[in-house]
Amino acid sequence: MRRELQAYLDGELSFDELPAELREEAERWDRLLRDMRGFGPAGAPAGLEARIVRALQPQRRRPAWQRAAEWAVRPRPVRVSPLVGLAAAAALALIIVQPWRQAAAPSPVPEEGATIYVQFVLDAPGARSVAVAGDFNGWTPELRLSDPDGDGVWTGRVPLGPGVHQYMFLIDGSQWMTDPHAQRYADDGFGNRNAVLVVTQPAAQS
Amino acid sequence: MTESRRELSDGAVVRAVRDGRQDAFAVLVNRYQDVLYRHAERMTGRPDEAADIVQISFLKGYENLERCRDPERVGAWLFRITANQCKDYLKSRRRRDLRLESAAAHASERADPEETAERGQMKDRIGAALDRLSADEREAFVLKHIEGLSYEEMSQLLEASVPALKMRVHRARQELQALLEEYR
Repeated sequence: MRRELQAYLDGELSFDELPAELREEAERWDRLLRDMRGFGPAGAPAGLEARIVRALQPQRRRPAWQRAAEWAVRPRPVRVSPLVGLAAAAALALIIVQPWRQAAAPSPVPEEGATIYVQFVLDAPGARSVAVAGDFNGWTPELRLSDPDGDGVWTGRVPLGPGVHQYMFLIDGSQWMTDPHAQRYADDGFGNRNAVLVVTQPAAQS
Repeated sequence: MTESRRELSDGAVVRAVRDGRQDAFAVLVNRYQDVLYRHAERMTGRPDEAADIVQISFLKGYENLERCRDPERVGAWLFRITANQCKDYLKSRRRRDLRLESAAAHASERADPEETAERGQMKDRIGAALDRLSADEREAFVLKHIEGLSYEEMSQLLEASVPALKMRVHRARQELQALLEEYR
């Protein structure tokens, strides 16, 4: 197809600016496109709205923890390299041995839960506020980072359980930003990239 | 829908749903079902599949509403979900090789008693030609020429560059050129 005709169809050239030999083809394109528009539906069919609203009823929004639990128990194929497999087996062995060790030598200090404090850091000079939101807090940007010395480096400690977490930063309450220094990234299924953080249980203290 | 609901901005509706007024989501269904359905039917060419895609898209949107980063533009966010669903559907349909079915196989779905036989045939030929486009080319062509969006609007909606979108539309036109024979 000639470049001038593409430009006409893109709206960059008027009909009068087209070379005479292309005008007949341009008119045919206009008729074809008009028919294509005419063949389309005017709107959703009757009853679709009621059907969707009915389908929403049993879908009551489940809390984030419940959705995370469902995600965790849903079976899925996992590809693991032999090296990672060996490391996972070693970690599992540690976890199995751990209760026996505790029973034999109870710690005098109160036992800590599985919570680990993770330090989030974002270089955002000029920001008025920075918050972190992720699957660990239902994607509500309530965990605020601070920049006490005003050097533009925002930090904050967040308690997280072991596992794989996805998160984003929210700057000035409106601008979402993917952590440029994340360990990994994951497509969120909506055209954006979430940062991925893997939190593992620290090795047992002797 | 009550008058007071109609006056709510999209952002206010999203905040109401997030705050626990879950029935407020019906306002968004009412507001966007037409535009989402038109796109889904133009992408799939099949009314039943289009309705299913729109339903799935609203359910996904409802379930993941926390991820909508700009509640005032929830319509565009829902559109992106629907557009992705349409492309996934087309790719899986292609994998199943259903595109090789004759257009006549789905003529009954499109049948309209008011339509003349000649117009119905043209509609089927257009549908079959659109089925031969890749999902990305079809999406770009539909948005540009059937839904009448500018390249800049498409770029914002699909988060793709204007030159990339132009390339998809140009390729789609090349593929559809054979249809012009019908307009001599």
